[in-house]
Amino acid sequence: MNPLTLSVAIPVSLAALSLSAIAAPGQNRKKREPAPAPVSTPASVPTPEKPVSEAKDVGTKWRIWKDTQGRQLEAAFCALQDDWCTVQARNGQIHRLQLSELVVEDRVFAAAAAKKQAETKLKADYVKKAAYQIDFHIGSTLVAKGLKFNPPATDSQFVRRVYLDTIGRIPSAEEAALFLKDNSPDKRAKLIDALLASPGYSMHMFDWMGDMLRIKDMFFRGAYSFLFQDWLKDQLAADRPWDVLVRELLTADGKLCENGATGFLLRDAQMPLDGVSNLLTTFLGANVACAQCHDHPLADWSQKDFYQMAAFFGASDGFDEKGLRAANRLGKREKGADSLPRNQLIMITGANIFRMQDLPAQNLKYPKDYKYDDAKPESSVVPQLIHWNSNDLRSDAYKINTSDPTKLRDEFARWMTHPDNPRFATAIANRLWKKVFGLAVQEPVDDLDDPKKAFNPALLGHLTEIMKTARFDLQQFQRVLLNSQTYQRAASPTPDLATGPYLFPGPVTRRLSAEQTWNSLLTLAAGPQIDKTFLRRGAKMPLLSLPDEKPTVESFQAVVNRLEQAGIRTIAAKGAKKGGSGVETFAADYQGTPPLRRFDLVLARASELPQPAPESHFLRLFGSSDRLVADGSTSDGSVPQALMLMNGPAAKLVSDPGSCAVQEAAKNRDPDQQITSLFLSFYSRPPSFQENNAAKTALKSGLTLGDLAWTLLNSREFLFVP
Amino acid sequence: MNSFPLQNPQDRRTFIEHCARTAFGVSLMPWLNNTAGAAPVAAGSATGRPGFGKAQRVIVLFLDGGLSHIDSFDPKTGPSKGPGDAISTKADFQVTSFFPETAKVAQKIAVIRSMTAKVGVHASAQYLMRTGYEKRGTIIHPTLGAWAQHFLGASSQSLPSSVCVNQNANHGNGFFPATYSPLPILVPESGLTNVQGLANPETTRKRLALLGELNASYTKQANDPNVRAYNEFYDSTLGLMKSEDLKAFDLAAEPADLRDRYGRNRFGQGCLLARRLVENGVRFVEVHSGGWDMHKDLQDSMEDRGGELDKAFAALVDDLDSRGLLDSTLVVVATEFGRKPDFDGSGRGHHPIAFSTVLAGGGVKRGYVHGSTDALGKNPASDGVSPGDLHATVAWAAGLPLQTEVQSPSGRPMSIGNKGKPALALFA
Repeated sequence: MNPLTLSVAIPVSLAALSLSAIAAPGQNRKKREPAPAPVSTPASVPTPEKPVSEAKDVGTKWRIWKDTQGRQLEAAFCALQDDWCTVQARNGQIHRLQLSELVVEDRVFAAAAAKKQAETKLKADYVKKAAYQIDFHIGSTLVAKGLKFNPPATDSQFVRRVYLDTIGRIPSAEEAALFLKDNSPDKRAKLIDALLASPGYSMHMFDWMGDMLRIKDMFFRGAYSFLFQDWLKDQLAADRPWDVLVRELLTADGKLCENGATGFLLRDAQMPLDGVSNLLTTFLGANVACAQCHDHPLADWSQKDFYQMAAFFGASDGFDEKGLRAANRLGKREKGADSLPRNQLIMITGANIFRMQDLPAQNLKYPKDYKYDDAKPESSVVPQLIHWNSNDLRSDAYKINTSDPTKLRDEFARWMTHPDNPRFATAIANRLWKKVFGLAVQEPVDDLDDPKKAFNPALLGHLTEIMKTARFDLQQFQRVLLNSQTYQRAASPTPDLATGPYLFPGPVTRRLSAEQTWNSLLTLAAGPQIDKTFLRRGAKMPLLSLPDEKPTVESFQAVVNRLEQAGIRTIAAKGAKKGGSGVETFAADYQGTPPLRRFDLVLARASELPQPAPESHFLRLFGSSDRLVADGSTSDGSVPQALMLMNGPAAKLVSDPGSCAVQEAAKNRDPDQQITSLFLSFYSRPPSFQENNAAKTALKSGLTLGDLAWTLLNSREFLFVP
Repeated sequence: MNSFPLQNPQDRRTFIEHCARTAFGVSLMPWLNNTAGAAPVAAGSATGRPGFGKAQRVIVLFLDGGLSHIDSFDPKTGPSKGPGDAISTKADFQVTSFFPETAKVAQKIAVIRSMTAKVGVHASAQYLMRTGYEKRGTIIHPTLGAWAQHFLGASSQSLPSSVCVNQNANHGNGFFPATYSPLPILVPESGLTNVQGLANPETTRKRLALLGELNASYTKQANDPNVRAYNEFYDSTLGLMKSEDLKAFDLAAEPADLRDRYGRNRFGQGCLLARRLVENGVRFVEVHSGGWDMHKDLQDSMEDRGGELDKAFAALVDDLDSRGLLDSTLVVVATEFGRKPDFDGSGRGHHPIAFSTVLAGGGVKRGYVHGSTDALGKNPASDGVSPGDLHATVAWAAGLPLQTEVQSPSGRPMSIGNKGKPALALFA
């Protein structure tokens, strides 16, 4: 499909007037369905006839947005996060508009729309009731074993924990103090709502999904996923429901450099069978990975089951090997190819050979060495869905049509994201529970085949219902969890699961994730303004697209010229052929507040840095995933971590005079107030009597506030979620 | 050139202790106090058996993603042949043309061509090959370095007993104390960074005093095993910062031509770092190399990754040999699984049923091939070696008791290699 086709649907005058300077001009083209409805509409539960929801009052939602420079964009309101308004244009493209740059009328409209939208989300009394039910399910299992809930968390524990769990960083001293001195009875619920509606929430969710979805800047020499990352960030900012988001990931078509949503499937384009295995374990907790090679020894899945599922992707192709060979040949042999800059040649090739497209027929065959009686080796596989028990088959989710090969992915996606899918809602609910409680209701999160193995099956069932009631709105689902009394209790020490299930008398003590640790360090060094720095690198990716015909030196040259005209800085991809990976070549593009740079570090949050961060980066040292396998992050301790916190740039950032936390403390004259300020910065609590005395003595003995900050960074309390 | 033969008192003590323990199954030196729960070693696994205990140090070169055995150490001529041709070596076995340097040291190495397993999923296969156990939800198994530390004690007073290069340790300690986890070095060229304190000694002393006080009260209140593990890391770190042995991490001390021979890339320099570390008292080093998951584009990738491996492995074997360390140092080239005999012109899928492992030194026969696969390289044809067997083999060489069971914290009996059998034919 020609990339221009869809843009024709937009009135030319509007396209010309679009706020291209603010928002990315990428195309979110999809060939099957028209652009999905604006996400602000609540009805996302699909019906068999209509996989993508349509809002009834859509017409009233379209409006022309104007900025103070007179630029215009026709779009519908999606979400408001502090100063950033997310809107969706008619072609489905999501744009982020900075509120302060819009005309007054639009600012007023956005605020009103946000207020109205809040009313369409879960009602406060439902949240209370559902949260109470969580407490009830847990309470009954505790009582049955003669156990008790942990005592309630203090306000200090709560505020540090809830900041970390919602926006992925600790609160600043000011933010913590503001909450502590608030006397209103519903201050916890109010804080939860405010945090979930702030930009830090989507940044934190991006970190969380980055680990789960193995988000990586470069898939292959020269093939960058920047547009995918931008797309996902936009979806998160717009609070796109999980079912809608996943459905788009599974059905997207087009090139990696033109349609961001393709980035998930294209991540595994070179190994489609592994890709199927990954998506089944991640989205459904179906433990099929072993069945890829042989019948599963423990679970029920046979190799045939696996192949029948993989066949839903057997009429799709993501990796254009012919295109790669043609480009390689061109680079080596064609006359005139010498004049093409080699690293640009690689980048253009990479951007174009990753593309999702449907084939006329399903091509997957059983392997040559297939050794079971239920199918013939090398015979064609007939797509068929797995089920966990025979009742599953009666549900609406299983009413699919596999007759049209070009629709196989759509049918699969419809089944997978259907509310009646036996595992889809449970899998994401269980994962999010783990995110905020430190341990899942059923471990491991990628194997939910036997729900009886859950620590508390009734609780898992209840969470699944909440997820469906919230219509897969992940933000609203977490709102329920965070409002439960169970969440708002003191944390338990890490349990030994080998001795029995954990019954959740409270959350589990956890080390901050690598991303939370880094973001918290930045909060101490630079303050909460780090939530206003956004990395967006995809806007110019579509410039890399080659025409569909056989590539020629001229067509490559045309792209090179386009890149030059657009002023794209390309760094030589060092040793792309021999000896190692090229570093990203597209110019980093920060929106909002430019990040500070200190001690050779870019002080941008984890989500706004290269994915994954380089091996030597703080993030990797603290266990951030290398993004090769799903859920690959760790929270183990190590000697190099201790060295980093005692002697490395991390120590310098928080203890030198430029540190935001130290400066904040130094505003006070009185040593007691200085010490309290630092304790609030690091631990969201005032010091105990003894701690205050010890710190005061230390200051008298010649230590500075910087030394005190160093000490608070290195006490283990900094690294753990209270 | 720096050369530190292992003659310091610490190593002698360790060696005596380990002979004593493996011979009698009990600790004669209770002050090491690390054998709680260990049962007596079964009769028959005493010293005096071929190769037992000859490897005082172990270097594992781990290839993430799954090395194609057919395109490396188990070349085939039939329909499964890949882009590389079989070439002759200095021993009477062949390798593929991607490994010209290895061919020149083949008379010093042994190849196991009959590795076999059932796990074809990266993370689980890597877990199995690193621990000898299949991955389970409720327990984490130790790597061999941690087992060795359990049975033999620490290998150095200031340096860690295990180091993991180019990858985080990923629970290498298993159910043993967190400090048995390998020290991770993510960038070999930089070695161990941030070792210099920021403040003057007087300020540092005051900072640490206050830190001790604040941290003690937090540790008591949290009462969490992970918090206590971090406390141990801080203690080790403070010890290490004072150590003379820190230079072991500094590759700048190596001559430039030797650094070139290993290859100026993360893997090559990681191998050189491994040699420096074992020379200075680290017992167990794991060096990772990424990029072996060759579903597509196998030829190019073998030229790149295979070229790095070829150069670095050959350099390491020669370097250790020339220093007289090869007989007491076992080098293992391990991977997740093999790759399918079906070559689609571009790459190959995962194939756990048959794959290869290479061993060198540490009492292993030189120029030897153990086991074989069928004509296609699809199934093991003789002497199958499971990941558990491989663990037992390496542990045997390292002089560790295979029968001794250790109770995991939850009371489950565990032993090295999950009852795997050592492939004794490998030892001279």
